[in-house]
Amino acid sequence: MSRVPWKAPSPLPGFGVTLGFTLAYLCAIVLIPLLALIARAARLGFAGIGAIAVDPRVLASLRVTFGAALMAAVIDVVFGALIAWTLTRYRFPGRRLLDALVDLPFALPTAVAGISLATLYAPNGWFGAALARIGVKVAYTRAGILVALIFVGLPFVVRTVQPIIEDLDARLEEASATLGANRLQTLRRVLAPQLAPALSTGMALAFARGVGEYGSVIFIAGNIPYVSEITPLLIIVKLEEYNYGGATAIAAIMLAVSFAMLLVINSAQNWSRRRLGFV
Amino acid sequence: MSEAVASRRAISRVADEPRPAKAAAIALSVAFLALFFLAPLLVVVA
Repeated sequence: MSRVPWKAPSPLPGFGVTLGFTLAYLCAIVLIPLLALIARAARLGFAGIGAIAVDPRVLASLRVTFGAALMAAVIDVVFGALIAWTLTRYRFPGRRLLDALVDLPFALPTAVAGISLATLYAPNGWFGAALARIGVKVAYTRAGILVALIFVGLPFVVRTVQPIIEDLDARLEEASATLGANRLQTLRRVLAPQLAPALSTGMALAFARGVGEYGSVIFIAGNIPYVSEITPLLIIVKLEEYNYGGATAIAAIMLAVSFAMLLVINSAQNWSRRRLGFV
Repeated sequence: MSEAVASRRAISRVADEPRPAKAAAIALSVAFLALFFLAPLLVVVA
């Protein structure tokens, strides 16, 4: 009796080695540090973590962090799509300079970005002075956090959407027009389905970056407890107080909320793919 | 008007985007990048 192989051999060579390396690398870089964090937080027990989770200062910081990150990600999607479209479809003087500027948050140290934004939006800064005249204060308020997060998140949307716009087949838009669609219908029925996956990925990336952002925010936020204090700063405060248990518990809570929100975004993508046929 | 002419006009409607829309998109993008990206860079340089 001939032996039947238990699985069909893969046509790709080295599958076992690459899978093993991928899993080992992911474990070393992502999984083990996260497990260590959860294990350290677990020492406090459910009651201990629960007490920290309902602490008004922690709740306020979580509200500020996740609210600002979500709002910044939404603004980044709107303007990021527009900027990606403009840079890809139009030719105008200074286009290359603007294209290079988009990558600035990647190159600029976050602390430098925070200091320069705080300088700009401080009541005596270039923009801050003008805004102060109409009664708007940005630096050292929640609006400052939003400005910093918009700054750090925009490249994620632009750089995710740009290649998709470059690859869009203009003939589809022309076919849509010859079939009688107006510009809005072409945008909604032809362009949006193709751009939506990249936009939602860009939004998720900008949101994730915003949640974890520390360097640029602390210089412009004012860091007032219950008002403009972000969760990463609260973790640093706990560490400086040698309260390692409290710091890891807040980090674990933050991890759980981030994971839940990214799960919701992915579920929304899957839902719209099934129901609407795109994303 | 023949179908061929109608198709050609529809295609040129897509290809020749209205100038106000194009100008508005460029102006908005430039303003946003200048406000959030160029100004912080200038502050660092200054």
